[in-house]
Amino acid sequence: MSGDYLSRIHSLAQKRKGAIIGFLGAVIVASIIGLKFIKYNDNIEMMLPQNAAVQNTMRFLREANFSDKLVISLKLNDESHTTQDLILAGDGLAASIKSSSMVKQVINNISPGDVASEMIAFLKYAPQLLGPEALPKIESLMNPGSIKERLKFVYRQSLSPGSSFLMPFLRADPLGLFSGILRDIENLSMSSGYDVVINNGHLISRDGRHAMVIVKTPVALTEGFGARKLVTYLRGKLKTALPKFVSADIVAGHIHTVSNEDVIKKDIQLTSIIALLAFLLLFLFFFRDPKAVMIFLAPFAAVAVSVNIACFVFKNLSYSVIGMGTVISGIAIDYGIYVYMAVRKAGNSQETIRQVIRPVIFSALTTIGIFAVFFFSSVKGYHQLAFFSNSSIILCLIFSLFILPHFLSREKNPASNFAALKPASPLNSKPRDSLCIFCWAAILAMMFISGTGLRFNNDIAQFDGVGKEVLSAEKDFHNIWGGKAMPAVLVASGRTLEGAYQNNTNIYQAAIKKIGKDKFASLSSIWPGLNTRKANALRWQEFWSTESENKIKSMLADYGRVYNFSPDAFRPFFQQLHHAGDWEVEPEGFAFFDHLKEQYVVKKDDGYQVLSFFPDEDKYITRLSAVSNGYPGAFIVSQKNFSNTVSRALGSELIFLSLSAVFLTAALTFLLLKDIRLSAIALTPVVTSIIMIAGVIPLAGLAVNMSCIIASMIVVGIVSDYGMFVAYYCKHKFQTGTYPAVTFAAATTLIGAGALLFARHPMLFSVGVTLVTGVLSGYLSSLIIIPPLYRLWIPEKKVIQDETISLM
Amino acid sequence: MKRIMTTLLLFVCLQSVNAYADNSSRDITAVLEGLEKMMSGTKTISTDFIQEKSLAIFNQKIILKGKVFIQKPSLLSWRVMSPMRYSMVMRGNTISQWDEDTNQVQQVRLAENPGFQVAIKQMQNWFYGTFKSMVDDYKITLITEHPITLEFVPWENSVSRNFITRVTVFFQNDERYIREVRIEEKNGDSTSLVFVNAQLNQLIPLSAWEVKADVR
Repeated sequence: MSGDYLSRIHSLAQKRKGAIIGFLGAVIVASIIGLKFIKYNDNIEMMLPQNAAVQNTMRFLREANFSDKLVISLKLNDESHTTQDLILAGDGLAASIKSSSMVKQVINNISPGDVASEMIAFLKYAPQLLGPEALPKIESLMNPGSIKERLKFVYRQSLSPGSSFLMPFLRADPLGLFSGILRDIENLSMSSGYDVVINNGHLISRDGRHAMVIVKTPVALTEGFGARKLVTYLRGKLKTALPKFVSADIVAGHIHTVSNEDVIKKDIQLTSIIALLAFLLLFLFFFRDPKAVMIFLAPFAAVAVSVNIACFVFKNLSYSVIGMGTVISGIAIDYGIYVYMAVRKAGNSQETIRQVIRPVIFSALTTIGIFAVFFFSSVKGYHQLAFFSNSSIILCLIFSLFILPHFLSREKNPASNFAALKPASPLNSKPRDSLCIFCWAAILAMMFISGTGLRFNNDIAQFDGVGKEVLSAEKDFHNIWGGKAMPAVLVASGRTLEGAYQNNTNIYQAAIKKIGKDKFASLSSIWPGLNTRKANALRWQEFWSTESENKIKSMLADYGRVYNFSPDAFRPFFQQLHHAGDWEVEPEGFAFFDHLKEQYVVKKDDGYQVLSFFPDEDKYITRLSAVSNGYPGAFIVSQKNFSNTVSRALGSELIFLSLSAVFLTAALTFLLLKDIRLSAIALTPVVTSIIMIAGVIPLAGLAVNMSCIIASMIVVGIVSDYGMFVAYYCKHKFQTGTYPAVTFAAATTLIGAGALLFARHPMLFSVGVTLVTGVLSGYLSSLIIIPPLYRLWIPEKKVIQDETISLM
Repeated sequence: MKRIMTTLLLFVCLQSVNAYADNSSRDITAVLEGLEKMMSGTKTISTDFIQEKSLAIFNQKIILKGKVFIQKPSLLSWRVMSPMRYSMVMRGNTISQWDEDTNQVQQVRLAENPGFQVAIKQMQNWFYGTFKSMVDDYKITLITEHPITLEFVPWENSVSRNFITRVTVFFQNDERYIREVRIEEKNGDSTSLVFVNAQLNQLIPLSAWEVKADVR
């Protein structure tokens, strides 16, 4: 910065000191008040890339039928009470929660309806449903031997104790032609994966000690405030509406939303308090200067102001981003420390500021640059992080360079507390320098070897910071009700329902060839698309000529005589033989079909989606991905696949961002130092930090995740500052307290990052581990390794020459 | 097909129907308690039966003759001698069946076969006298007091409603076991089951619990 500009700003700030204090005070107070009105958002979508596959999945999860349901699992706690008591308690609870506008429907009591009759009636669609492969099988049954065998079977079944249930089916399908349709209905119904027994119309567990109540809500899963209100309401009702011998757990995505929010809020509070206390102790113990409190307050004030600005720009702020507040404070405080130390060491003059302004601005630029590259990411949350961090850093930088010096003493005051932080003498012996570098290289080599065992964990579920009590309730729930291994979903889309059905049918036919019918539960098995049904029905009519029908009729009558079957015994079968139903009209009046449709078909604003379920295993996902890729609008939703998709999308993005960050850091370092060798030496902390992070993570039994990578990028920005400052000092020998300044900068960053080690939320914790490892190793290497490297690599003569040039 | 009913019910979610607004008076409760007490002393039953089935599928009534063995708490053997030989043994929640045509033993879990489940549960309740446990599924009415005759009509949201219209149970004069059961099915079929030569608390031969043993 030119001397004139600096002088003007310096004198202006000096003249308007009072006004500046007033203005800053007003802005800070307004920002603190504003914090109360900030809208936060813990929607995980904000932290995911805008990749088409990821967005498809997230949109699907948001709009799927199951995302609006909460399940309440009731448990009998007292042996003296019966299932009947539990049912009555469930009824009471259901009645008490219905009235809220947050509850759309409560399902605790289901009527079986006339399922048997419905299923028999549904067989009228058999001609539309049986494909070409069914006809040769039917033909093979049309001989005396097979008919006699079937009639014997019908007779035996008629006399068995459970015949009441079987009779309608035996009469409607004596030859077992439609058993496949009935089996398909069963498979579809079973794909919910839950182990439920119907007791008196209620959903009861096999042990009779648990009951299930399903609550449908209009409150979206991702709507943090609504979810909290709903969960609070339900928890309140559980307390008041249930008798003491019944306890209850709520299992739903809404609980995760609320629990994650609670965990992150607690983490923010805890880490802020720890960081505040640590900062206070540090400043009061080492600085022993009341004015130093300004350095400590500045980043917190900057964070408060930045949160408000970011909220104005982005409307909603991610909790995860705000959770990084202490880290940002730890970084932003550095610039105040550099200036403070320089002023204390060299006095409050424009010359002092001039000596530190260049490295301070460049170090701020590297950090700003690192965060700025996140603007190139497709993840909206990273944009917020970049904006929030850079805003805080810029505010702190302006404060540190132009305002802070005017509030510090004009006298030199070399503090005795910092005596221990004197730099090592540049004239140290060569053997000692060599030993030092050898030890450093050996440690890095060990860490490099350890780093080869680095694992990458791409499971996004690891960022679910839900509390232990919620996990315990879910474990109990799955032990009782099953449903732990949730299936993957293949989604077929269409602009019209019929279009979606037909796409679903085409996909179904391809899918069962790939993984088999047993593994693929699709509505197409009982309701294919119109074209398929029409073709089936025409084929069926052609097959069942009068001659064929008479042949069967005559054989059934002849061979059934021996069992005394009545002439009307199989009338229901012949009645439906030519009743194909209306092709264009969907089955109506079938409760089971309606409920299967509710489970398998999703109405969207722009069309329909038909879902099919299959085991969430890699081999099936791979085979069915090949199928879905061939159909526009089709995609797979699976927990495993989703993690891979996200990591693939983020991975390629992060490679670009990381390379940009490293390039930017190296470029800015070179711009500051204007010497390739010196710049290489200044980047020592960056190399050290990256290798140490890679080595320590596996040693700590952790795996690398997306958060670690992002935190590592931030580490690069932070530790490159230390490298710049120390290399700048080695080159220019300005007595601006570089070593103590770097030490305190590292200490404050470590406090901010170290506070995250106390976080319960896994994302914040993994950021904490990465930052602490990286910053600590980067700091130590900048102080211990850069000076010996400098002495060994750059001759003293050259330094003096360069210094002369640089000071001009 | 055997589990279809159970699984389908999960998806048939209609409006709540209060199944417990039972009109059972103190009298019927007292009667059921009295029967339960009277029959609780019976640990084993072996009895012949004559089952008369009026099924639309047949031209005439079908008459089955056989034997029933019951041993509390969970053993039941149903053996048909004519017109075809058939046996079914229930141990806990598993049933084993055999018939002379196939000459094969087939095992089925009770929970997977709602038809059997309803039939076996009913039989157990009739013979054990545990009528009070049936109030969840049936509206129970006392038809006559001497000898006792009970009528069971499935509640609207009961699984039994799918198959059964009404069951009438006639007791012996001494009320220690049942004399006859009449079942009216929803499809118009009906069955009557008359028990004769009943022996209570007699030692039942082990062969009775072997499904493929000589059923005679």
